[in-house]
Parts: sequence; structure tokens; C-alpha cells
Amino acid sequence: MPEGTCAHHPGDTAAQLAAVFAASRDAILVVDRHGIVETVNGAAESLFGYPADRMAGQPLDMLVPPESGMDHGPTLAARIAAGEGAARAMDGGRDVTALAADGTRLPISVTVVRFDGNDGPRFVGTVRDRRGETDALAGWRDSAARLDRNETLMRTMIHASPLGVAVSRRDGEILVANQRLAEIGHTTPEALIGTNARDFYADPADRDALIAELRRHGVVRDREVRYRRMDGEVFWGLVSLMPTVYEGVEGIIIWLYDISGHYQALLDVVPAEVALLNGQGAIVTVNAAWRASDELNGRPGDSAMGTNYVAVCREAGGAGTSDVGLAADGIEAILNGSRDEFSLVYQCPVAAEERWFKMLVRPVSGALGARVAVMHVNVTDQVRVEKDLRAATNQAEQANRAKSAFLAGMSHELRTPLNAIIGYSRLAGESAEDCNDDDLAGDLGHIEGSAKHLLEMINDIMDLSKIEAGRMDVRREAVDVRGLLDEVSGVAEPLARANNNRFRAHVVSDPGPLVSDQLKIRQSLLNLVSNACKFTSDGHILLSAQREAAGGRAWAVFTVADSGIGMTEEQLGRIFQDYTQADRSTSRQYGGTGLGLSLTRQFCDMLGGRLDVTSTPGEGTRFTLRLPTGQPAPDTLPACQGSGWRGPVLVVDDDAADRQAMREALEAADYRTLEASDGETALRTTREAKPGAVVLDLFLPGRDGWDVLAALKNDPDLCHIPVVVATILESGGQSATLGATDMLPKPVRPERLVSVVDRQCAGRANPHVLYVDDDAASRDLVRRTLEQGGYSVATAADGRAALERLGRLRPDLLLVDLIMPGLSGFSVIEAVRADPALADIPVVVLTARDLSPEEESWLAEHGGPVMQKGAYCPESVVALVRDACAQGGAS
Amino acid sequence: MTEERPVLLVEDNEMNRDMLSRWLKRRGWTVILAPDAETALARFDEMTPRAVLMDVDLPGMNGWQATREVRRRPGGGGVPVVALTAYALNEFEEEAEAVGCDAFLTKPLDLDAVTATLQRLTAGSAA
Repeated sequence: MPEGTCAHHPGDTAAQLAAVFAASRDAILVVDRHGIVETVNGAAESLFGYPADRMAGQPLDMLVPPESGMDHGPTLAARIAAGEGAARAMDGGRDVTALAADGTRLPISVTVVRFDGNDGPRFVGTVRDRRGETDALAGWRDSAARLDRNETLMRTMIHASPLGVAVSRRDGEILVANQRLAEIGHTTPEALIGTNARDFYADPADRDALIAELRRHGVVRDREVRYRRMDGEVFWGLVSLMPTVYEGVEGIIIWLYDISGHYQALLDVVPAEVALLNGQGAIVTVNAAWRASDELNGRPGDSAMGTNYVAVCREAGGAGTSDVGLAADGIEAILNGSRDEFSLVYQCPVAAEERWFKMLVRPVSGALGARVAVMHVNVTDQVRVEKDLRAATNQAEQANRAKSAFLAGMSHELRTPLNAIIGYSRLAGESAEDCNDDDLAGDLGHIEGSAKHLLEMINDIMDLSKIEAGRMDVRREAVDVRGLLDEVSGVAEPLARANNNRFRAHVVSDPGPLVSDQLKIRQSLLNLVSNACKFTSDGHILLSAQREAAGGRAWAVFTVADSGIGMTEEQLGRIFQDYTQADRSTSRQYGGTGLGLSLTRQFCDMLGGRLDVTSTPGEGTRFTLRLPTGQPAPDTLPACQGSGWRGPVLVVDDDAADRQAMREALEAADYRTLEASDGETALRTTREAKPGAVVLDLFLPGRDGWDVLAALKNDPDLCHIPVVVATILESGGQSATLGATDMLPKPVRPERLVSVVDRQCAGRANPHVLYVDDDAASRDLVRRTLEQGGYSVATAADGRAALERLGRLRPDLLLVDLIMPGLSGFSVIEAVRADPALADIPVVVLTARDLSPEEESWLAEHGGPVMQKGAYCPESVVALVRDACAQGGAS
Repeated sequence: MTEERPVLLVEDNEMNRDMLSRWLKRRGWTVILAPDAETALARFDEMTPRAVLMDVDLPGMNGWQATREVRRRPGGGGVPVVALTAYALNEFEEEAEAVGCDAFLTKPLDLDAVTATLQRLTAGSAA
């Protein structure tokens, strides 16, 4: 403001203006028409760093940095000189850079006002210091300015984008679109320009929702929306929106990615027909298989997006019952969350040939707004196979039923006349006896006997047929072993008497609780006993029961031994075959169906047990029936104490002369002897003196020899003592069957007695055991235990050493650990079994680990009893070894 | 056992009927015969027998049904019924118990067992 003005207009106004001029926080400069500074205020002094007198009279250009001519355009001075813009706010606040006294560049905003004074025009410049403004604002201003200036760059970005990009006006009119977007829309970029983005939304309401979101949040990111291509196809796009200015026009930039293709590729490789439905049950998308089979299978509805599949199913199927109705129910159940899955097998209603599908409905989440996936899988082949299988099964069952019915009927038809035959034979036989016609009575007896034989055969055939047809049930009940033996004895005794045999039954050691099928065991034992009675005359038959522990299980063992005709090895191989007897002549001579043993073995298998047989022609046969008790093995076996093996020989006979003869014979052979004349004394003496062997007469006053023998064998302390039975029952050829270890015919010949006792005392007192184990502690423990039990023991630390030793010295028994370094126990057993000189050596296996079923069956075939290490106590090893030695010796 | 109430033998097979009745008579039992269930029920109504030997496999009404009928009759509850059948099936034994038979014997019959069973079941009953 010129001083002259103030001077010419003294008063309040001038004073006020001067005060404003001085107090203004903006710098104010007054410049004449030549660009020379006339006056500045205090704020200008402090802003530019010059005192007022250094600026007054100077050209304004002193405040302009030399490099920023561009910013200022023509210099203010020059513009002023050109008489530019009177009273015009020059650019209404232009941002420029000024040069301060100290050389720093100052960002300033300048407003210039011209006024015409008396001496010509002047210019008043108001300068605001921009250094206080925020950096962010400065940045925005900068980038806005840059964007504004770099539309070329923007165009490049639009057209080179891997996404579909378009810019539209706010009303949706497309200003520019890239090639990628055109590809997604199945059109060209040129064709898109001028169209309205709104028209490409499958549901225009979706666009309204997006624009509303854009208004609220300034940006829309990654929304899944259904669009329509130029050719009408609907697809899912992943879209983002932002406001923008394009070529000076305010609008919206759109980024679009076609995710339908993305999911579709995955869905299309699925061989099943797949549709995704939204929360309302409308189709979101379908895969290629679905589209391909749509018409073929006459499925309700089409595959068009948006079709409500549930509604279509409802319409086609009504409620409930029909397949489509059930399908609709299933989908709804999944949509409302009441079920997690639904499946339905249905027959395709329209196809010419039979077609079956399985419909599967599962919830899905996320993609494309889908809530549920519906799949149809062609299961025609499976259904056909299942049908065939069911038909075959039905047929088989029907055939089986028919067979059972036939057998039952057949049995009935055969039994009815047999009833008359047996009954009339009995009646006629009685009449014949009344008339004392013995020949006729005998003949009628033969008729009755034959009829009964026929009946037995019918019963056996029925049983075998039942087993074959799988209609034989196995009961599991508590079996009373003693009661069972009594029952069998009741039947067996008259049978035994018929051939002048003596029958005995005894429980060697109570098997404890036995859970099995009592009837089948009874029938099996009766079969074995009646066989024994049939093939033995003037001899004896022994039925015994005892317990055994093997393979971690407790077993009930029944033995039926006879002193009958026995069988050869070849005959033994055939006896378990149906309808086969040891010899064809056998049935002629002895009768029998040949089915009894086969049945017994089948029963045994059904009960989880095993039937074994050993026999010597002319000496007798021993059947052993081993059945699992269904109880765990006891912790320890009733261990026989190993002491007394080399003790004296006890002679038990009520005949003093016989006793003396035997005593003399034994003493002549350097045996000490003890004597007893009755059963009680014999037992007492045995308990007290623990003799090395007992020679036992069977016919004694009071407790007879059978009782003594049973008592000895039932006593864990005494059961190991060899008992030689001296009997007048038969003059030779009989083997030991009663738990007796040997049998002597009476009258006893001295040399025979001594050799038998020698065999018992010497042969059994010191059997040679080879024990193979890599664990030194086990070797020591087992060796000492066995030696205490009267065995001589050699040890080997590995398989190779064991085989070397076996080559030099044949042991009576091989005790072998399975797991050893180098040659394993399996290999040792294999080598022993392969060597003819060693093959018959009994083998007992010790193992520290559980065996696989394969190993178990291999061992059952090649080895002997298996004992788990850790599960055994030394005494039980001795018991096992003794059993194995005894069996090895008997075979 | 003279002039006791008779045993009613129901059996359709003539030979078996004859054989069994002769066996029973020889052992001192009085026997009346019926070849089918209908006749048997009529005989039963005429005079309540001491016991009934009932063949199961009868023409028309079978032995099970006949036994049920016997059990419904006045005085029929206390008369022992022994079922006889040539079907050796476990199911039959259960059925026999279900319809109220006192014993079940399979054919061919052990004749001694027949008389022993009758004796056991009629022991103590009024002649």
C-alpha cells in the first residue's frame, strides 16, 4: 500500500489499513508496474530473510529461483509490464517456489491483486508460506498432478493388465475396456465402448449393491458376482471397483477375473455329474458331465444357471415317496442344516436300457455362493453285480434249504420203517426167547443190530450234511468234564464188556472251567470210545481228561487209548476221510460207517480244537482231542517236582511171592527196592520215598491198581514217576495207555522186568537236551533248572553252533530260542527237520516275542510246543520238556 | 396194572401203531388207538386216558395242534403227552415243549425208553 494513499486519506481507514498491513501473517509486497518492490511488511521480511530496505527498490525477480522460471511462467515483472489482468486475482493462488535470502527454496502460494493508484497501477502480492501444509496433502497433490499428466501411462496399464479392466462413467457407460475384458465377455474392446456396464450383470441388482458399497467404502474388492457374456452365457466373476478420473471424466475403474472357468475346469474333470446349488436351491453351476447327460437321463430341470433345482424336483416328484421327491427332501435337509449328507440310489426313469444312479448331496461352502453340491454317479454296474450276487445268494440259500429239507425228509422216511423193523425185531426176539428158540432169537438180534447200524449211519450222514451246509450250530456253555466222563462211561462200559474189554475213565488233572459244546464233545468221545471198543478185544480202553497250557491258552485234553489192533502209518493217513475206514475189510469185520472219525474231527475243528492219533499195529491206538477251554492259560503249570528220579523202585503186588520175585530180580540188577501189598500203602510209600519207578499190579485189595495209577498221575508231586503196570490181563502186545509208562505181562519174567525198569529209570532219568539261546542268562537259568529235573543239558549260543553240535551228538530234545543273531531258530528247526537223522527229535520253542499267525502255523507244522519267554517259569519248562521227551519216545 | 385207564396211542402208520401197541400191551398197559388227530380227540373226550403217545407227523391236524387241543379240554391239562417223531431236529424238541408235551422221543423208538417214560410220567397218578 503506497504511503501516499495514507497521506492523502488521513483518518481511521488509513490507520486501519496500516495496522492490517503490519499485522498480517501473510507476507505482503507492493510492486510497481515495472516489477520493482516498493514496500514490504514484517511478515515478508521474516519469510524471505531480507530487511525491508534491502527489498524496497529492488526488482521482484530477486525472490525467484533461477531454475523455476517454468513455475512462474513469464516473470511477474514481464507480465506486469505487459499490462496484464487488472484487478484480476492472478490464478487465484498459485503454488510457486521462492528464493530466500539464505538461498533456500520456499514453497509459497501467491495471490496478486492490481489496483490503480494516482501515479499508475500497482500490484499487491500476498504470499502464504506453504511449509506448514502436510506432506500427505503435498503427496496427493503431486500424484494427482502426475496422474493428470500421465494418462498415457494409465492407458498402458489398462490395456496390458492380465485382468479384464474397464473404466465407465458413474452412470455405467463404458469409456474404455481392455482386450482381456473383451475376451471374458466374448466380444471386442471396441464393441464394449458405449455399452452400459449394468447390462452385463446377470442380476442388475448386484451392480446396485456393489455401487452402494463403493460409495460407502471408497473401494470394492474381490466380490463374486454373476455376469452375462455378450452371447448371453452367465458366468461367475471376481470383481473389484474404484473411483477414478479418466481423461478428465469422473468414473469407475473395474477389474474383473472370470472364476467360472477356474472352478469349471476342476468340476469338469469329475466323472460324476455335479451341480452346485445356492442357499435357495438354485443352480450356480454344473459340470460337463451334468450338461452331457442332462437330456439322456431325463433328469428334471435343465442345467441353466439360476434354475431352482429343488423346486423342479418338487414339481416332478411331488412330496415324499417318489425318488425325485426324496431327492428334494434330501437337498432341503442339507440346506437347512438338519442333515450332513444325503444319498439315494435310483433307477433312471427314461433310459431305454436299465440305468442306475446314486445321488449324493453334500454341503459345500465358499465358492460361487454355492451351499450344496449335488452329484449323480452312474452305479449301473455295481447295482447289476449286486443284483446278480443277491440272486446267486438267494439261489444258493434256496438250494441249501431244499437240500436241508430233503435231508430232513429223507431221514424221516428212513426212520419210519426202521422204527417198525427195530420194534418188531425186539418183539419177535422176545417171543423167540419165550419159546426157547435161540437160533431164531439170534437171527432177530442180527436184524435189530443191523437196523441200529443203519440208523447210526443215517444220523452221521445227517450231521455231516448239516456241517457241510453250515447249519450245524456250535453252542458255548459251561461243560462239566467229570459229568461228561461219567456219561460217556455209562455208554462205554457195556460196549467194552461186549468184547471182553475193561473200560476205565479218569480225570488226570481237572481241566478247570471249560466253555464249549457239551453235546459235540460227548458225541466225539462216544465215537472214539465205541471205535476203541470195536477194535479191541480182551484188552482195555482208557478215557482220560487233563489240562494243558500251550501257546498262552489253556486246553482241555481228552485221550482215548486202547490196546487193540492198531493201525499202520498208511492206514492212519486215511482214517479222517469221509466214508473211509482203515481197511475195506474192516467194515465187514467190525461194522461202522466210517463217518464217526470224520465227524469227530469236524466237530473238533468247529470247537477250535485238534484231533491227533498215534497208533502201533498190534499194540493199540491213542486218540487225543485237544479243545480250547475258552480260559486264559494259568500263570504256572502244575509243575512236577523233578526230585527223586534216581530213587528206589517200588514194587506193588498183593501176592507176596510175586513181590519177592520182582524184588530179587531188581536187586540183582543193583536197584534198591521198596514194597507195598495194597493200594493205600503204595500211595503212602510213593509220597514218602519218591521212588524212581513204580511196578504196579492192577488187581489189589482195597484201592486197585487203576485207582493207584490215577492217584499218582493226578498228583503234581508224583505224576512224573514212571509207572510200570504188571498185569495178567493180556499176555503181551499191549502198550501203556493209562498214564502208565510201560506194561509188563504177568507172570513177570525177571529179565523183562529189569529191562523195562532200566528203560524207565536210565532212559528217562537223564535225557539229553540241547538248548540254543543267544542270551547267556536264559541259557544259565534254563540249564540249571533242567539239570535239577534230571536232564543232561548242552547249550549253544547261536544257530550255527547248535547245528554243529547236532551233527556230533543227537539229543533227545531240542530246546530252541527263535530270535538269534545269524541263523535264527526257524532256520535251525528247518535244518533239523530236513535231516533224516534228526528229523524226529522233539523240538520245544522258547520265544520272547508274540508270533504272527504265519509263524505260529509254521511252528505247529515244524516244531513242537511254543512257550513265551517271560510267561514261563523254570518248572513249566521242565514240564514241557518232559512231555515232549515222552511224546518223542512214544512215536 | 390191570383195568387201569388206557394209554391213547395216536399214530397214522399202521405198522408202527401195531408194533407199539403190542409192545405196550405186553408190558401190561391198556391201549386205545387213533390213526389221526380227530379220532384221537374224540377218543379223549369219551374217556380221559392215563397218557397220550402222540405222533407229530399226522395227516390233517398234526400232533402239535392235537396236543394244544388236548390241553384245552377239561381234564386235559393233567394228562401226560409224549410226542413221537421221526424228525430228529432240535427245533422239534423246542416245539414239543412249547405246545405242552411232557416228553419227546425220536423214532426209531427205544422201546424200553417208551415204557420207562410212561412209567415216570404216570407214577403216582390215579389208575
